[in-house]
Amino acid sequence: MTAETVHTELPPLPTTRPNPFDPPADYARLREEAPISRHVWPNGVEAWLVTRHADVRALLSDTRLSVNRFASPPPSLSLGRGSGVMLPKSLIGMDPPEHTPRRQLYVRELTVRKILRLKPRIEAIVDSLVDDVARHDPPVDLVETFCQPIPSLVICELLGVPVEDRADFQKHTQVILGVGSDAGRVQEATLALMDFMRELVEYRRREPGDDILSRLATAEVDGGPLSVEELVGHGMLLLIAGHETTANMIALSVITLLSHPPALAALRADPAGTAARAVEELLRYHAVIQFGLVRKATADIPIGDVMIRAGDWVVCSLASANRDGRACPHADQLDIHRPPARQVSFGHGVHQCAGQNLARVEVQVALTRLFARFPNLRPAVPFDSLPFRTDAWVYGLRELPVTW
Amino acid sequence: MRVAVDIDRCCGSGQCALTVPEVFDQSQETGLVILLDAEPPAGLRPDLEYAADRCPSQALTLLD
Repeated sequence: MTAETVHTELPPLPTTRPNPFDPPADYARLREEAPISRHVWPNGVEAWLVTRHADVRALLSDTRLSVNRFASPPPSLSLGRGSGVMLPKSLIGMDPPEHTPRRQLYVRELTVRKILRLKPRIEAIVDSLVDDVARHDPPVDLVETFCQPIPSLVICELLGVPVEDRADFQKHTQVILGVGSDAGRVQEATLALMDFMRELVEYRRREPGDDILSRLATAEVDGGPLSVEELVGHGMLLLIAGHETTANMIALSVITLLSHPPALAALRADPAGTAARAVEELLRYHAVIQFGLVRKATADIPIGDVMIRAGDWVVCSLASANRDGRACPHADQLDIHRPPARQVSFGHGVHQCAGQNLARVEVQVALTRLFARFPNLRPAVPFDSLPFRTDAWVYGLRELPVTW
Repeated sequence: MRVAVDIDRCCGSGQCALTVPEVFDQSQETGLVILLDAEPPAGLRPDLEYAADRCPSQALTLLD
């Protein structure tokens, strides 16, 4: 025994999954023994980790937790594949009151009714991608050929990207999402997209179309128009927020259903009656924002047995909340027939995903059309060799080679 | 039974309109909730309790 001072080291953030479908086993233990407790993140930053469903909901609704993180480095995965480009400040980095009128500009474009009106276009996009898959000889990588292009093309519709520009747009977004892209190429593609977005915003100010970007470009907030840079930020947010997440949710849902034959059979037997509920359960089962939502306390918050201090980082684990038996019976089971259960994969509070209704429809259409077209769809490689994105901010699959 | 909405809390998630369209709609101007029926039939209670629970900003209240 040396004369060193004894450190009480904080435990590291649990990140190791027992299998591709379940979150780290430590979350279950933490929910029981230490539901809100301090951990250290891969980049060395310390934060409170919140694991129970009720606490995650309460804290994500708490106005003493801020999303503004420009002041100091937040807890994060150390070797993330970030663009390295500072994106203009956007909705997800603003607190009320700045946040409130700007969020309204988004949610009015993404209402349940507007998404339903968009559904035929989403179906057409998905059907043409299913045709693309079918034109190849198997095996085909579903991620690149199907899962990634769906949200990318849907966003093009929403943002009013001119048809002649969509190929370039797709090219850049593929690099940003691509498995093999190095940091330099990702940065180049991000900057190219931002330039493209800037031109598109300026064009839409002069010639507005029937799309979100045109309406944002001509909207007034606090008595004046939004600046071009803020509009670029909004355009980039709409693209990024709904792209990797949705693409990965589609891929994860496909492999999950392929691995749960009764659920897949039920979906195939009655797609119209089953799709919505199946997707809701898949969302609960898989929180693709796998390492939780980061907030900063702006005041002391007593909660449970702990005192979160002003200035502390707080991370709400969506994956753990979704598997909390207190909120959902047999929470670790995929059960597409269960009565509607609570899930927080889209978050909670005023920052809850503004695109969630769009995401739901995209995943529902993707799954029903894919499984209808390929009755014998199956992985083309052993399950154990599928490359799940265990280290990424957004969980999913890097590739999903399939045959039919 | 009676339902009330707090428009200042509403953040336009549309989850109430998604789950109980007979009672809730969304404004096409702001995305915020529109209460279609402040005194819905008692048979909708389970759906309304679900909607109130699901609301991300606790903007819905069920009275009696």
